[in-house]
Amino acid sequence: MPPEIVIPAIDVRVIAPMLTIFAWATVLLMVDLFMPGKDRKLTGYLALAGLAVTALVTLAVQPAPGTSRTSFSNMVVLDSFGTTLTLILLLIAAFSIAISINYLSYHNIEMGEYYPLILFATGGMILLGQSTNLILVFLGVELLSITLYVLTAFFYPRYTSEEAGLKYLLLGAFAAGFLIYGIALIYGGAGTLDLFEIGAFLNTSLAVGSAFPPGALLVLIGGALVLIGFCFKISLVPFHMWTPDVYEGSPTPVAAFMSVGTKGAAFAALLRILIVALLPFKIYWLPVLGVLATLTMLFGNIAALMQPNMKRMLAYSSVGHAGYITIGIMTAGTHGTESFLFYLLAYALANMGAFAVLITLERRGEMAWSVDDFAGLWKRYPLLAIAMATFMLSLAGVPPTAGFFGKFFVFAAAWEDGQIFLVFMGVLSSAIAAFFYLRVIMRMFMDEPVREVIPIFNRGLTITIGIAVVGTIVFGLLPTPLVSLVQNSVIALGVGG
Amino acid sequence: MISAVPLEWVLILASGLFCVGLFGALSRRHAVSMLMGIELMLNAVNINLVAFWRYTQPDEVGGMIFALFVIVVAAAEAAVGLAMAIAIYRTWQTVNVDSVDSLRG
Amino acid sequence: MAQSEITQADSQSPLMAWAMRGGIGWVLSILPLSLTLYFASLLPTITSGTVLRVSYTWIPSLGVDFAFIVDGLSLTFVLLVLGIGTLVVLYAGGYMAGDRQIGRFYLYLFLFMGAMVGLVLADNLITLFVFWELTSISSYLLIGYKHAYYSSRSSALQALLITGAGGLALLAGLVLLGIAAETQTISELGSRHELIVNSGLYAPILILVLIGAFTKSAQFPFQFWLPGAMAAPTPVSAYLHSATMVKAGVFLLARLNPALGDTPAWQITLTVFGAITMALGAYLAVSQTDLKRILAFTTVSSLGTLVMLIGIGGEHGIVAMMVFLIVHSLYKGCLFMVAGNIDHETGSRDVSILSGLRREMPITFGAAALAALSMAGLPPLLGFVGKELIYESTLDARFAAAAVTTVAVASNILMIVAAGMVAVRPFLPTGTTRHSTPRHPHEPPISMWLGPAVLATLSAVFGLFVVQVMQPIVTQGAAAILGEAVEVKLKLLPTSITGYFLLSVLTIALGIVSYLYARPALMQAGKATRGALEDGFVNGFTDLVNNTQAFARWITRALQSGYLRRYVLITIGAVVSVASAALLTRADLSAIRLFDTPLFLWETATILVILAGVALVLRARSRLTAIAGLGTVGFGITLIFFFFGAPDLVMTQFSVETLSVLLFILILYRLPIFTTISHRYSRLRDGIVAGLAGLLMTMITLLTIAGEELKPLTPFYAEASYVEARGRNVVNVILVDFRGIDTMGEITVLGIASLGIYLLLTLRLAPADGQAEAEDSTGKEQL
Repeated sequence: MPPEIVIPAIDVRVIAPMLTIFAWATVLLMVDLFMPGKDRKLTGYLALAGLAVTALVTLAVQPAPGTSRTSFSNMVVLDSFGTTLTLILLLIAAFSIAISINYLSYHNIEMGEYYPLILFATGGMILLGQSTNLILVFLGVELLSITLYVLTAFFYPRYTSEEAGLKYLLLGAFAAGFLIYGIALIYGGAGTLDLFEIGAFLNTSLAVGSAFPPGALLVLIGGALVLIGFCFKISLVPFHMWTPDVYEGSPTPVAAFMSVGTKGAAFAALLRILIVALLPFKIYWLPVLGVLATLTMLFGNIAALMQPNMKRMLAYSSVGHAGYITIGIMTAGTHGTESFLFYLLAYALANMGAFAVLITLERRGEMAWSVDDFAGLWKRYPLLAIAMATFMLSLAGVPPTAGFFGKFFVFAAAWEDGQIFLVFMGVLSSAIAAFFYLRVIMRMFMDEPVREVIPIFNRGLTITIGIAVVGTIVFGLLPTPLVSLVQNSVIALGVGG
Repeated sequence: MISAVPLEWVLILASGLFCVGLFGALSRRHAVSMLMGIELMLNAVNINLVAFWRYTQPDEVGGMIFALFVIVVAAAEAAVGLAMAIAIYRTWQTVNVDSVDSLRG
Repeated sequence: MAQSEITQADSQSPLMAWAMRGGIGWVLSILPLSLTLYFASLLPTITSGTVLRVSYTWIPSLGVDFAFIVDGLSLTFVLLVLGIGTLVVLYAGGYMAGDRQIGRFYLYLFLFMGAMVGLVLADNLITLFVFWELTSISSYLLIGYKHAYYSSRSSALQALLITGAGGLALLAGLVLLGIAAETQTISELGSRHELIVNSGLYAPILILVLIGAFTKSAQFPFQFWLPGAMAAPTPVSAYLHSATMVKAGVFLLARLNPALGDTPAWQITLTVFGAITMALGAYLAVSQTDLKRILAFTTVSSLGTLVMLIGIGGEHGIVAMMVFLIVHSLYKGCLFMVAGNIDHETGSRDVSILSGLRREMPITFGAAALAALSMAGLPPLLGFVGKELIYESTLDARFAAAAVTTVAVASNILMIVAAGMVAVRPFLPTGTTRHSTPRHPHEPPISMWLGPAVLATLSAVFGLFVVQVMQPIVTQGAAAILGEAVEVKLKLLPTSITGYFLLSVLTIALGIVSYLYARPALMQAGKATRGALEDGFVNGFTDLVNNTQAFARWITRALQSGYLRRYVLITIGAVVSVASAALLTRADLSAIRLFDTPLFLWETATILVILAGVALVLRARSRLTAIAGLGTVGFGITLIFFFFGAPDLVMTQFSVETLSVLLFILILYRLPIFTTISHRYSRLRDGIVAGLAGLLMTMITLLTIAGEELKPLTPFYAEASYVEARGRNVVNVILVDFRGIDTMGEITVLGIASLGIYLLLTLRLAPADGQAEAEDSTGKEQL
């Protein structure tokens, strides 16, 4: 019996964005090697150029509305959801690099490898958003995680940076263990790692009779473990414990990148798994996610209440926001997808902006990020204070900011889906959250300065803050273009089509 | 000659190994030992994976390739972890994870 | 230093100097004035019964439009907002003359004005909410503008928290309302009254909307934030805290009356809470000594009256509400500005030391006197009409008419006392020696007395020409609130002696008597009960906030201990406990069957090898033993892979395992020796958790394969020859290469890992000990 070698047809367009960014990162790494001098700003600008090129490639290969392409034995898919997500991720990466360029030299940690690593991580995120095979999901998660472990521990000689790296790595490795175990069990049950096939398997095996087939049971348990693995990545309570420590310890631009990029990509992958593969199990994962989302919203926002450290406060706030996004993906139908993408962009703008403002106030050799530094900011730097106030209002979900419509969409989708309790808990936790966001505003606008802190401005920070403010307000006032964009971003539910 | 290993046995072995790895990771305070524990857990998963592949889908290669990736990626992760341990030791003069607790609250 | 230089430079420019002296107020007031005139030009159209609507599509997918409506209700509010706004803009120019950042102040003021106009004109629930929140935000900017005046930050925080939380409740309520009514357009809600009331969502909608309205309009039990917010600059108090923003809640209730009203729940809640607020505000007002606090509590009382009147409803109630709304805005705006003038000129707001200002500030006194007469409800001022209508409607109330009327009379008596305290006492000589004030008073500039004078005059003019001026707009306003056309007849003086006229006379008589004789007693009583009625709410709220904060701190510390191992333990513990609970309650454990297949030598031997390795790792005290144990386990697993016939896996596992062992040895020798593992107690705990986790997983796996007819567990050798297998694996390898994408991912992971290790180690590499790390990183790169 001679072995048959079947070479699957390859549609390179499907992985073109990913390929571009990986190739650019690799070349950049080499270019950086031969770059003279210690100044690494040029590498940063080249990385930004790479992101721009990738964005162009993404737009060039985007599928026609309502269609999708698959390739590599259906392991990756390019659908409009993936395209939109990729663009958002590229924007996030561009923000992160823009706010890093001067940060690194200011804090004496300028290494050219930093930028390729961000690009690699972004590539991993794009991969996560597009993969329809659990092997690739696992690879995407690892690609992202290993890069971020390194970037977290990157801030030498800040001792907390290494502590953060170690905690992130060990807990991340645990998460990976759960993820792989889950994938193994799913494989054992369904006999495949392909999301579409898993979905088809569940549909047929659950349709047979009243009894719960053992294969499906295995997939169910595997799915639960995969969910736990993802819960670590998107920091749902009680799997969030690393989040504040890691955000606080890592370089601030990296924390910003993680807080939105990692979350966005991991949520996207989870969303795809839930609605492509595990939709027949919705009755099981829905309550579980509901409980997790509730715990997350409550704990994240309660813990943020009394944080004197802005960086930790933003970390807890990002935990809280993970809860809201979870509500979005729970209502996994079309409205869930829309609200997820909208929320992600609104949250990304506000959160990146808030971290950028934090960077302007970060002193060399200090690790305080005290809320006190914001006191009286209004008197000294009114524009910076207004920008920060915009971000805080958007994060709190106050109109007319993008964050308001983000929450509105999520809650509306959840309401339509009948998740009344969740909407109630969401509103309740928003009320708690408003407290600490508004407290920052109060400190900025009403208090006297505690100490003289002169913000550092540079082009990258200014542009990032500017875009974030404008975006937050424009999408808050005129959300329609964005709404139509996310409404056209649908997840491919089958091969081709 | 060699006969079939019952799937239960393999799965139980894997679970046991996972559990030992977990215990190691929980009880050891040495960062590297925690890593070892996690390595054990990943090994256990791999046994599962390969067993499932063998017993259910011997004609497909997906499971095996996945196992391959797990081995390699886990090793890469462990290597980064070891480097991290060295870095921690340089700065903190300890690798006892209980002493590395400046970030909290 | 820089500041003074600029001031000097500015003062050289005559234009700038003029602007600094308050001239800017005159210029800027043109904007609201022209808007006022524009809206006033709509009066004929609206009073003829026409309703104007404009709508722009905003978010079509959500049914949210930028929709606006001009009817009697919104036009009344718009004219109040813009008209009083014009005077406040003017007033602020004088009041804040010399302020360096007055431009910013005006920016906020106009922002607020715009938000308020948008709020009252909105015809879409979401549009309304957006403007609602905008008024909150801009009001905080205004309150925070002069934090030097800010005696108490905690009170600002209170205002912010209470109205912020109320705003969220309102949002939820409005969204629910939109769902229940199947429309977001406010003017369509009235026709869906039945649908809304019977939808089952009515109760939550009512509660949420009322929380929003009550917090904004300082109704009991949220009344305490308003007096606290009086620390803001006086123009802000005059504008936001009396005439406009705090009326937003009242406006909301009026606007939603056609949709939500006309039910017992609505009527009883509004009447009861409104009456309590009315009485409490009036009672607390007369025991204050600070001018602005007196006014703040009387504002609370008036807001209570308005809410009560909406609750009483019917034509009488709504007409009374419309009239009293205008009455209150006119006299209260005036009195706040008067208080500001007194404060500005004398440097004090304490009524117990102010007296005899009549001589120095005659115009201010005139305005204050007129406004106070309106507040006291004396003819021929508009206040008298308002008071008459209030009594008419309370006597007419559908339930507890006697009780409500009694409360209203008592409150109005106290209001007369308060009016005397604010407008009579500071101006007339008291007989006792005159206290000296921080500054020597004289009449303020025209920009500061024009506002009060105009408002006071209007109180008189509107009263005298109540039929001509008030009747048309009140008719249309009442029609909008009631959702049906009404015929309103207003009159200044009653044509016959009615019950409510007698009540008015009684009120005035008792009020004057109380002012003259009962004030010390009232003051005494107020002071005695202040602990419970005034500070009690504030303290209760502060305690609530503090306790929440303490709880937040405690739970954060407890969970985020900073100990990595505790994080792991908590996480695993949570998973295990939840999963085992689910397993024990749901699954049929008896289905598990154990080991009916015998084991054979090789497998047994392999498993023993692995177990030995595990034991080594667990027991190891020395580093090398532990590594050896780990290696043994790894190689044992390699053996298992071998039995499964996966040669490439065997090769990979073997090489990786070898490398790992080497790496571990290399690195461990650079690190300190193993400390003993954790304490016995914690080891026991860890063992239990790990054991439970293991047991759980074993049960789950067994359960899943129990009962399943797995494909025959064909021994590998029976299926294919060793050679063939190897051949197939070659195919696999080829396939792997062609699959490409995952391999690419894997290679990238490896590349990143080596890059990362390089970074982690070189970044902080002391030149002396570079050797070993360099080895590590190259080792990884080979891998």
